[in-house]
Amino acid sequence: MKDKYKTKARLVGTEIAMPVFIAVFAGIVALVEPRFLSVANLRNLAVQIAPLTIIAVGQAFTVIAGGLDLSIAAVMALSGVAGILAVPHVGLAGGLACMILVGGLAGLLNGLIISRLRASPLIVTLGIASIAEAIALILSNGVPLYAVPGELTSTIGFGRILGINTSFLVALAMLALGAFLLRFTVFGRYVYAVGSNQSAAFKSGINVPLVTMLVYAFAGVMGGVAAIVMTAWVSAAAPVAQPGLTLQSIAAVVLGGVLLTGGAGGMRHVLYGVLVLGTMTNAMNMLGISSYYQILAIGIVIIAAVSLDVFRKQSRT
Amino acid sequence: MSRPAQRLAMASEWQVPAVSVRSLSKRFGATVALNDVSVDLMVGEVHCLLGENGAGKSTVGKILAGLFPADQGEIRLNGRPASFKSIAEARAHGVAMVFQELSLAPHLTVLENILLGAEGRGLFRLIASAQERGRCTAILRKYGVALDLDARVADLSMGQQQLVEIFKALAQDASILILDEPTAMLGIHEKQSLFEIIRQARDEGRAIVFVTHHVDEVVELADRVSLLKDGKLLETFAADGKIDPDHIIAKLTGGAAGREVKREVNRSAPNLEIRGLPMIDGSEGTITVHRGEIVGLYGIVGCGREDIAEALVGLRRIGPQQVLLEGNPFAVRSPAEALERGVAYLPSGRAANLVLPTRSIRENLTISRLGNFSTGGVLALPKEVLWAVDQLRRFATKFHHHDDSILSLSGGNQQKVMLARVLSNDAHLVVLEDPTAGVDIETKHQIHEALLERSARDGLSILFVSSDMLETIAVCDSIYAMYQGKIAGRWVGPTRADEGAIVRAILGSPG
Repeated sequence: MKDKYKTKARLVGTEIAMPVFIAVFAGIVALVEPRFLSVANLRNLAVQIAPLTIIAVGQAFTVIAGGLDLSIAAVMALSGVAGILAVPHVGLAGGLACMILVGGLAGLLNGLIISRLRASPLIVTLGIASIAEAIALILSNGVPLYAVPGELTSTIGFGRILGINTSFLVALAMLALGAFLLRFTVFGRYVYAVGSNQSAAFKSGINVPLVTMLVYAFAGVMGGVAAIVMTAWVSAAAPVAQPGLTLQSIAAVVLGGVLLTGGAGGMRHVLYGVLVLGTMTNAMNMLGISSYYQILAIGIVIIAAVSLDVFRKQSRT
Repeated sequence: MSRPAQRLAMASEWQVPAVSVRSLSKRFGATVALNDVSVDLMVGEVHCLLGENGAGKSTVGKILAGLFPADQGEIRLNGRPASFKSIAEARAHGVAMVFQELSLAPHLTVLENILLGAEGRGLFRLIASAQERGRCTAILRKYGVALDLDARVADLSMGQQQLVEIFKALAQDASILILDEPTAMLGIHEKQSLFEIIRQARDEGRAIVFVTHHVDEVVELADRVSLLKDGKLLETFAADGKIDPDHIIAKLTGGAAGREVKREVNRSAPNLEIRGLPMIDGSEGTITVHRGEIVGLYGIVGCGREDIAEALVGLRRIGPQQVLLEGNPFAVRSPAEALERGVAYLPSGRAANLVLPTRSIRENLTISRLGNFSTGGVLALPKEVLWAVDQLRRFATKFHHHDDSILSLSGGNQQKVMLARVLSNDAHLVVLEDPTAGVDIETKHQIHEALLERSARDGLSILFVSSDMLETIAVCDSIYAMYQGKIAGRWVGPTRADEGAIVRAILGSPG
């Protein structure tokens, strides 16, 4: 009787399947290439997946709310360019704040158009992606900006706190922030409700347009945070993001177990997805597999993830 | 008086049943939906499956129609073993089911919907041939139904959509037709014409399975009745025109039914006034809901009762009328704003407008009042859990764990959660649309009791919008009847004696 009052974490089916799969996969990679488990490589892996993790946190919010953000990588690139250009005028801290601000504003614009015009997130974010990319190209004259302050590179890019890379810690902090928002705040509940059944959410008294706007603004802010980590890591702000980054963020979210139709999933799913994609890329790099085949492999994994999503939905009913 | 079906029912000892179900069992997780149910469906009979929500009556139909397989048991179709893996396969064998949630394509026309999935039609043939059109016209004419074949389904009323779904089955020559709570969304007018169609389909030699929890429908329509409770078959008996409704209700609920005592309401403090509404005689009238009063807004589907309810909570523009809440002008643009002003809303259409299907029972329950469990937007989970479990108990909801999916509950229990969501707000006025649609007799009773208690104890005002007259009369302190967007009459302290007058009013034929 008493357990009716408890909130229990339930590990069923896919919940344990993913961590087990990741462990087995990493085990196999380690057998084939023992260097995989070396401290140097694990550090490398942690740094590699940091920007994707942060972007995927933002992406997860839009997917859980029943939407999608195809502009997130372009917004990240624009934030990076704008922030680095601002550094000479407002200093390093101001530049970083500028990155987050630009990301948030771009996201807010996404959310504003989607919620006010009730337009499809697919098209709106695609349009904003194009606009963001264009502005970044115009601002940077089409070339990467290398005027990244050395402090940024040495602290966030390659610095460590307690032996762990700072950029990875930033990514973990964003995961924690996302988990906190989703699980322990009214806003998080509303995000789930809007993604679960928008009409029911609206009629039960939720301010759906406001929630939608905040969700996309949050995704944009994550784009800005990712820009900080990215520019620190590569010591440059590229006007055009690494191709396929947006797609990878969606893949990570869905692969990890967030329902593509919205209303379910959490930050641990994002972590699973990012770990699978990251380990895969890392292993392929170490095994010397050509980047062409890497793109192919990622494509296959994305299709597999979507199939898994459909399968999960069928098994739920 | 000698209906063919009754003769058939009596001759059942030698006749092969159209469908013979033996020892059917089905579990959903921990819930036993069906437990060793055996039943025969004869050609030319309307077989009513009667029971409360969660009794398993819909599950029988869904297994027959190929929606999901049984765990145990056997189904024989015309004497041969049958087990359908999909709805399409069942249809190909002449078994068709009309689901509670209709499965029509809203953007296609009536004709296209009827032909959708019909035999011999390839993927790329959407346009109907003259021959197919002729056949559909002939079927509609045979049943005396006026449906525009070229109308878009989305533009039709719920009742008409139901007809399209039924004719889709008939056009595909279904010999076994399963109807799952087909009257849930219908007004009495539409209900009668539906019954006529069902009778005619039966007389043509079909086996009709009619899943319902309305005893009065069973009395009117059934040739044979099977009573189900908690997944078990209680008994099957021939109707023979001598069904005793009280006997059935007592059997299903294990208690006495009916309560016909009107309470006194203090009508000195109006909570809600909707002024400037057109009356049937051309003048202007007012709908008034006093504190602690339950006011019914009753009429057939499309009479304008939903418009008034939806305008109140900001889902559509308020017409020329003027709304006063506690004496102050009241005009909101969204249910969220309405809630801020103390007006809670329970829309009809549970699946579309109420349930958050991917979330837990608790989250579904508390979503409208999270402010009470949070400080600065951060939730106090233990507080929320305590409250939620207490509310679920109070509404006698059958649930395993509050963290389970809302979909693990039966329809009636889901509705209780939705009602608890709305009633537990600190609202002083609630607008309820068909709050008991698709729930069983016992649950209905509990919901009525809850409404009466809350209005008496807390002075909660309730605008009760329903298409169920007996219910409206039973629970409301006063009733406004509506006809074509106009107020056609008002009854204070309505009783069963007013039934006739109310029906005449909502059909536009007073006196």
